[in-house]
Amino acid sequence: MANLEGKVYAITCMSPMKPWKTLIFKTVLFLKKFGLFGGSTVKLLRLSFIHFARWVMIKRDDWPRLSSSQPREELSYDYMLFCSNFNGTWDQYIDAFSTVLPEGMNNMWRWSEGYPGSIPTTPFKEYIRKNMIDTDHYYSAYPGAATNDIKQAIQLRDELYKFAKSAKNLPPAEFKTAYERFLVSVQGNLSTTGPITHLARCDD
Amino acid sequence: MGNMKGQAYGLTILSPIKDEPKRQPSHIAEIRNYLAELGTGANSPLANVPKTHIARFAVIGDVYYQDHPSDEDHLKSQYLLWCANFDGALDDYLDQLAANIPDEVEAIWKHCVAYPGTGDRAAFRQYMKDCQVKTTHFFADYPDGTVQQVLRSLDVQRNFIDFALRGQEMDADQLKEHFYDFVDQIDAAETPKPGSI
Repeated sequence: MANLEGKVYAITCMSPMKPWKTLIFKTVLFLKKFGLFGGSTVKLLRLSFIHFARWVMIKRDDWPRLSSSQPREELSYDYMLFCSNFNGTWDQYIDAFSTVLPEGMNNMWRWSEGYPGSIPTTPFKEYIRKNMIDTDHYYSAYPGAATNDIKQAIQLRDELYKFAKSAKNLPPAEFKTAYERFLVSVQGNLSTTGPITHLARCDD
Repeated sequence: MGNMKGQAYGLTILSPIKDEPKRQPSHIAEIRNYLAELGTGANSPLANVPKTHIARFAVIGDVYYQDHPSDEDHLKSQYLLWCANFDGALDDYLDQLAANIPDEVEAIWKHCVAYPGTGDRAAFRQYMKDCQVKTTHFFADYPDGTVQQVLRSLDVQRNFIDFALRGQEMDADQLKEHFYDFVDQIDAAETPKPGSI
């Protein structure tokens, strides 16, 4: 199942944009760096199921032409390429965006031709499905780990070493008490990794 | 810098695929067949490029028509899309790719226009940069976590869960002694192989 690797799902979507809208979209993204329209990134972080995601604007002249024998592209539209690596099912992913980030999704997609809006969900899903490109090979260095597993593990490792350093000279009885307090403090960091039993494809 | 977030780099490569209409199988079919046969997880060739977090290959045959009143576009070439999320600088990563899996890189990219091979490292890097499209907006949920840090942390996590369970049966003296043995073990442990967790 090439779009899926362990707990991670790949979505690749390419949608056309009129060239004058590309300029506006780039301006929106530029202004995000100064905090405008910045709420979407904060909400993406809070959703916490996307490892990496990118938006790539491919202008009509950006398609690589590496030989004079290769025909030059003659396109009406620029294209927005969206690639995401996330945990959960395709439906859960799109539902989450439609529910939690409707305006964020509209800010990103409204420039694309035929985009119906993120609410209601059905036409939004149909649009994404129509413009999806399937993955031919998908790789993750940690396929059994969701984003929360990773962030919890990184935090656990840091806290473990801090505790080990701070408790080294405690007598055993005091060490045990301190260890039990430490264990309580990191109980939320003790998730397990591994494959999930079933993920449905969007076309199942 | 659109391609980077923290120390993570989001690379997007579009390589035009050779077009020889009478060739059977076609270049695009050979790429798809080769990619479909590759091992996954720790058996993927990308597991031997240890700076790689998550990556994908896809073939773009054409763009999609959005129905009336949109214009109908068609690509004149087909493209191999390669998206990689990795640690650090682009040149270092491309050098690691070429050095560690040259046969697999050749098997994929030999079907692409003007691909120079991995023998001339400077030419290989330049080819990839000629095929690179700049990422406009890049999101990374753990932008400062390298692959090695992530793998070692996940390994510590799963081993600490085991220790925490065993520790419940230990008295205070045993607990302290075994805890610091555990810390020494995780310090000395090798980083798990990419793709194995």
